[in-house]
Amino acid sequence: MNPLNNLHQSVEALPLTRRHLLKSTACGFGSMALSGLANAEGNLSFHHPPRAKRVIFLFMHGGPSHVDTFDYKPELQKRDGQQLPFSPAKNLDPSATKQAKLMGSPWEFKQHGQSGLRVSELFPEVAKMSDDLCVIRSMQSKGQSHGQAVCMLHTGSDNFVRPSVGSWVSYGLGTENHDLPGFVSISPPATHGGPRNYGPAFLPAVHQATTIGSNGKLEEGANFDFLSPVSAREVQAKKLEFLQQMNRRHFEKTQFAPVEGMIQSMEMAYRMQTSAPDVIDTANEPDHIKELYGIGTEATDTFGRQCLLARRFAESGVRYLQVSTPNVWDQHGNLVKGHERNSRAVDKPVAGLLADLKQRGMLEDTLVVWGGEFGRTPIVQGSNGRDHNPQGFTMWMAGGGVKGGYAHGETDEFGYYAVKDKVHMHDLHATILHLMGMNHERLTYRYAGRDFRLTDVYGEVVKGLFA
Amino acid sequence: MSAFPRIAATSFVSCSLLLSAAATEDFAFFEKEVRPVLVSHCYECHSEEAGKQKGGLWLDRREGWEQGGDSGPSVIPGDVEGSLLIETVRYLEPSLQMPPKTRLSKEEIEVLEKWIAIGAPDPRDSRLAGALRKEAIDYDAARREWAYRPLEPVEVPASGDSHWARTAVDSFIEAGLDSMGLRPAPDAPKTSLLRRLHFDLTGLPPTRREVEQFRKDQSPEAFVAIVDELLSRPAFGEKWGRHWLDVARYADSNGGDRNYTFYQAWRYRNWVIDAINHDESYYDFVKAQLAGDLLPADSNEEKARGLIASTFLTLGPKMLTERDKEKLRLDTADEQLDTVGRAFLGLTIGCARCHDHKFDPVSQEDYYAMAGIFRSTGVVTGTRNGCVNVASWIERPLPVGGEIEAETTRKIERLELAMRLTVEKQFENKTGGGTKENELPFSGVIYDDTDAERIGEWTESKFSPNRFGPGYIHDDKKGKGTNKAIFRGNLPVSGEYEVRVAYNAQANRSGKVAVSIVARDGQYELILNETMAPSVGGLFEPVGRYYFEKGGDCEVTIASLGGDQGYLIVDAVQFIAVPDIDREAEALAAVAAEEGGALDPLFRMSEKELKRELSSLIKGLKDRPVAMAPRDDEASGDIHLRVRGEVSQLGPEIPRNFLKVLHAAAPPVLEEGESGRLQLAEWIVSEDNALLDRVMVNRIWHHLFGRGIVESVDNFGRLGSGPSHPELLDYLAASFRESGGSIKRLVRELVLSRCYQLSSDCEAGRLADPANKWFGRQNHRRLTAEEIRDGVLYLSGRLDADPGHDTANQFGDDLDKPISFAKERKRTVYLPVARNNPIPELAVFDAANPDMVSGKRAQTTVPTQALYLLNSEFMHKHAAVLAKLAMEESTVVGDEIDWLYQTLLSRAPDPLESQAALGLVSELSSGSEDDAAVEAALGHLAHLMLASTEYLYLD
Repeated sequence: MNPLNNLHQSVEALPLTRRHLLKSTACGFGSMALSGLANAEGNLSFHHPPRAKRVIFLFMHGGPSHVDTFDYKPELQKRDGQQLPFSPAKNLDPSATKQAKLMGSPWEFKQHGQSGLRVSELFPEVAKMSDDLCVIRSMQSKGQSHGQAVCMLHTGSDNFVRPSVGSWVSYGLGTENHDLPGFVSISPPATHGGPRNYGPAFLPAVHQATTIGSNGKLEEGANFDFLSPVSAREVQAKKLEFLQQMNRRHFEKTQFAPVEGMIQSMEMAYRMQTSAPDVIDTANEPDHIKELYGIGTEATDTFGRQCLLARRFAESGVRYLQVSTPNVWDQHGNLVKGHERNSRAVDKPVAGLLADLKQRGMLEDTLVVWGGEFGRTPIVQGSNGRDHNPQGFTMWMAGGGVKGGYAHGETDEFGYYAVKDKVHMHDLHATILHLMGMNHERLTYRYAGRDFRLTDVYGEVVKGLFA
Repeated sequence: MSAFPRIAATSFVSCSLLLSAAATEDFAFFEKEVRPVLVSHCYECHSEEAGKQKGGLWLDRREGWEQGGDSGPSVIPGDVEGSLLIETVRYLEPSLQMPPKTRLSKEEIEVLEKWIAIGAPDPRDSRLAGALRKEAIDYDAARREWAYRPLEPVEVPASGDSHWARTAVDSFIEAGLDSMGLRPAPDAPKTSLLRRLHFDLTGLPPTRREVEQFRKDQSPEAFVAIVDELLSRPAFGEKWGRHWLDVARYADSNGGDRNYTFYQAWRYRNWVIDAINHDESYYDFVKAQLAGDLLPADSNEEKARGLIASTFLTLGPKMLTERDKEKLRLDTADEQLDTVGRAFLGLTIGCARCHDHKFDPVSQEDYYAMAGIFRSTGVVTGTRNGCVNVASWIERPLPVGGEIEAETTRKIERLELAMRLTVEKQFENKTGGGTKENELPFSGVIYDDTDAERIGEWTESKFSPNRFGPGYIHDDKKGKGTNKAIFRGNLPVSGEYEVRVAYNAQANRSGKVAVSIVARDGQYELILNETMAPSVGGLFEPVGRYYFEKGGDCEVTIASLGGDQGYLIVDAVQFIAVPDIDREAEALAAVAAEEGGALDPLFRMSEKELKRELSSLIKGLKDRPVAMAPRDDEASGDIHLRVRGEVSQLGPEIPRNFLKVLHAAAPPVLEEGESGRLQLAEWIVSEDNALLDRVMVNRIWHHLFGRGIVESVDNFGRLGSGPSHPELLDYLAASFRESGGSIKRLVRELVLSRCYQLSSDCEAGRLADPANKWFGRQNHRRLTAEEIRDGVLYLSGRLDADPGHDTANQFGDDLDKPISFAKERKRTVYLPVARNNPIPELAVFDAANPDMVSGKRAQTTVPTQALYLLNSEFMHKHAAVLAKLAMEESTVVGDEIDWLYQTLLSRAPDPLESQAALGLVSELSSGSEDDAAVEAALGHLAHLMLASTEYLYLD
């Protein structure tokens, strides 16, 4: 499942001498990519001071309903069962648009915290963190079907093969910890584009996410591929010594830079066999921390373990992390039971992650992003379902330099179309890069004769979100 | 049109200083009301001050909106409704709403409306600087550039006194080195050369025996004989076929959003390998991939090969769940065009989908001229397994001759029809007829009786099984002269449709039914006799062909005339695009013939039965000889340019044509129903198109020398790297053309050059020319992912050398589950290539990404490779086999180490190495003499050799 691409930096096209090689290794090649790029503009580090050092993206695969969670619409409640007074969006399920009857949210919304943000009863724990949330209620994206919208969310393109957000971040900033990859995706979706959503496309393969678990599942004992030694430790040590000797002789003879690179990466691989399992193994986490994430309770155990793992990777220097639910949020029918089950599975783990980051002082430089590929229609599908709605939906962020207890933008009175201070998915991407210290218009990669960007020719940084 | 005098008048007035009182007033209105709106909401993206001209539009000067942006003029003075500016601020069209973030207030919109209504007075006189104007591409100048110009005879440089050069290629290289004051490296050691040659030509290492033999006879003739022998091995086609498959973005599954298995892709893969082994002319090779399905053929076999070759066009990743079907078609055409551009021409034509290419001479018009050819080529079709939102792709029967062929054809036609009907039925049931554009199957649109507005009393019935949908209605012989059923259609695409009315005929039906149709050109009336059996499938009766516009008038009324006493039946109304009719008729005829002329049973099947039938047919088809070939659409034609690439933003219609920079002549003349693909294929291989040859010879050079003469092998545009040796490139292109496009001859010529046979180890050269731009030495290269796996299997004697076939088909309908190659022993080229799910062991060593054309693979060095080499079971397992072989084949104890060195590294160990190896073996076997312990320790040694850089890199 897991294309075990490239846990680290690429040692392609290196300077020729060993001295140079070591020097550049010390800087990290990811940072080289950025400095090479920044060099052209006379700037040797970030494009601007970063507000966030890392991102944890919590992906709600399938599309949670915004009007049932974070976007309270009194008018929708009032006109439950009435006809939508304007045309529904194109390309939706015809059975849902034929009648186009509004459906109020079955859940109650209450104000929380000092900010008084309204959150529905589906997210009681996250609601307690309201004053840390920066809720974007005017999200818009492209793609009425999952395949397109999921790729749009992850790569900025609904139809072409483009590098994923995490790959861009890895390309721009490299990794902080040389024993670990810069981009890790925990339980990534296998469908709706699968690896495309954490792939590097035309960026160097090194920027692909290293994955652990898949499709919202994280088995006990899950590990990166090929991390477990086949031979006993001391046998492996002896063998490695012999191999490195062989390789060094080969390098002395040929002076071929990649041979030196292979020598280095053998050593790194050997170290990783120890360091990565140390991060992945959560056995030593105290019980109260596990409890905080809902680990050990059936409903929340899986997502809790995913979130805890994300925190541990974040602590160890991984720049971009994604945690994914299975593709469960797609409630065309059975909305009440489905959304209750799904929100229960993630509510406590997500709130736990926020609280844990906060108590460790990490929330201020960790950007947490929560959301799905789209929201859901305020009009009913069947009797108890909602269709896809990329026209207007909600995502939220927390930490990493964004305002807490703040709601940005609006959808119309029913929650159908975003109408005020719209934030397109491209804008969200531009904003995430900006918070990481990168200018989305300057983070480019030349491929096939064109400078590509995560945001293509679009994207505006939403400065209104910044603390 | 009356707008023009007003523009002129306004300009005149503003230019003269004598402003009339009215104009002064108008300008005051502009300054007070209009300018503030523009400044606060539009300048951010459309002004020189902000440095932004989004969509090509300036709104900070009059000339800006007059010229307009990519979508044309934005304001037509006096014409509020016709002004694009107003359309966008009103937020009517989701894809074009301005300002994009927040809608203007009602008052602000009114200001703009008023401004345009009074003639759009605008005192802002600053002109657009020349650079801001849209510039036309200078094709004549472009045609003289190195990539596009025709081939002219190139003189081979005179060889120096050194007699270093052996071939013409060497003379070019020598001249380049001389010009830089560089010296070539010494010739490569013989064993290094042999290893390189074997891997380069066959992807496999030389055997011990081959190495020994070569050591014995080092004559030039012996080397030539080895080259010729390697060129004739099937392994050559497997190695070089893989190179082409990289370019062809070959995969066995769709990727994109649904990773469905391409059950038939393997035929194309094997065709490529075959064509290369038979040294098929490159021109025929290219032509077949573009239009093999359209080429004349003398035999069934040739026809089949053509169909299979054209799979090239259908192999790309597609977003099969795209609900906007026109977008799906255009995206598919785009993927094909982009692939064709890169693969054959080294051009990024796809860049011109949204606007003129920023760097290369490819305009947006050129793009749509070619895209029209691919839009007219059917690839995606209908629906999959009865799900209206998921498209499938076309598969075409391979001619096998005789009865089997006829049957296959019939089955496939029938399948298509069945698919269509199932989906339509299901769709109708689901929607109750509330059909919306873009959610429809490609062919006919059917409205069931339940969709009709009923006037008068009607009775619902399910009495006759011959019906469309769940039931039908009849007038119960009442309401004569007044009963009516009105169907209001909404057709997804403008065009000519045949309208058909469904009813079940019997003697007691009404003989005089009034049918009236409202189409674009007016209202039509006719009389229908429901006592007569309908002619299409016994259910639908055509009532004429009419032109309907998308979103325009479309109404069919079935009314009782009175005066007769039969039952008036209303069942359904179908609109079927005229080009679809013939295919449908053929299918129906085939079905009818099979059923002995009886009513098509498909109409009577329940949805469940149809589904069962459908899946059994699909299942059956897996074993049928069919190819994933495209098919020219009956609805072939020119297409509209799409403004900014937005599917719904139509620009002018562009006549289909080839790439203008390479084709100065007039566009091809195309017959109706022709896509133009055949003509495109003929043109692309024509002698006038030297770019085709340049790109291909450069690809071959790249594979043999580690870097292309043009380093960016897939990009010969201005942002590519350009040629380091332009004369050599043209020389090779010309001799390739002269040889009739023989890949083998070119490979042979190159490997026999001295330049190919140079050592990669040359300190002086490394210092003087670090990047080896002048090819003064060979380039090292790492073994490819395939070479690593195949080499290990080959050496351990476990490789199954027979070609693989449908290796992907064992994995089911999609290739999302892990694909393990542990048990597979075929060469790697035959393993399934799953998009979205690459085999990790191959991906980590930079196997080509099948989502895109990749003429040049990355060569990364990353710790995951090291982890794989150290920890994979595959390496351990085969190393153990090698240890066993070493034990078996060594007659003298202690020879095993020597055997392993000779077998794996093609050389003997030096004394120091022998000693170290012996030390390791005895340490790992704890000094035991026991065979099993020694064998295990030797396994570790073999493992290390396979993981060593000496094994993994070619010197």
